[in-house]
Amino acid sequence: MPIIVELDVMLARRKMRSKELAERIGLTEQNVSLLRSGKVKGVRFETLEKICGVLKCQPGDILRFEAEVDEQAETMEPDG
Amino acid sequence: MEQIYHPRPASLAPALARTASLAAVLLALVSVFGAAQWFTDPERLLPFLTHAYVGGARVTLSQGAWLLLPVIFAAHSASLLVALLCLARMFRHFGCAEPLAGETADAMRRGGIAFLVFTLLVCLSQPAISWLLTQDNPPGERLVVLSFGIRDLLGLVLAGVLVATGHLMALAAELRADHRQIV
Repeated sequence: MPIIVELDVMLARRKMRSKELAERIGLTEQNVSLLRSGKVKGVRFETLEKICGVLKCQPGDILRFEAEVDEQAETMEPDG
Repeated sequence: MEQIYHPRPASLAPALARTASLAAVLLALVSVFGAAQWFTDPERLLPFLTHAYVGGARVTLSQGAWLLLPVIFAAHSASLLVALLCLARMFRHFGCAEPLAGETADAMRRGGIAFLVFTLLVCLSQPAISWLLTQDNPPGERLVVLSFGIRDLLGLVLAGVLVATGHLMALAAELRADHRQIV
């Protein structure tokens, strides 16, 4: 999956457990766990807003795009 | 003032599942008993068939009819049995914490298809059975009875509704599962 979720990193920086994050943003622990492992199909803006508000970070701090190998080869081809 | 207890719909589902299962068991027992009766003493069942399928006209039970009639009725029983078992499975899933699940929709759809097959068999068996019972009659006394009434139409409509609703529920369950993966 090209979108990498780095919530673990931000939780470690803020010294917060996922259980506390789940309580503060109103999600179940299970959903936070799924989000941490990247096994979700999408994140609502509302959820992202709450996470960024609690962890005092930017969306880019917890979400990262990593192109897959074929896409990387295409983007690295020189123009002309 | 006395309070009237209204059971929640979800709590009726297990009871309905048990009723459907019991109906399936009874149907199976009646089918087995009927088959045993037919192969040991078909004359006892012949008056019932005569009245139901040829309106009391004269019938002649040939060897072919004696073999084919239980096959036709076995097909009826099998399709209705499958429909009842699917309905029992559907009600069991309704009674669970996740009533709107793919399994529930699948059970409803399969039950509807089985019931549709049963209804079609009932419609088509009237001419087939009337022909089988009278094919060995003298010329002029052979019958093919065709009938399609409001009861048959209602059965077809109900079966169609079950199939369509099951299909829609399956789509809804898929969407719900998809939405659950969005946090």
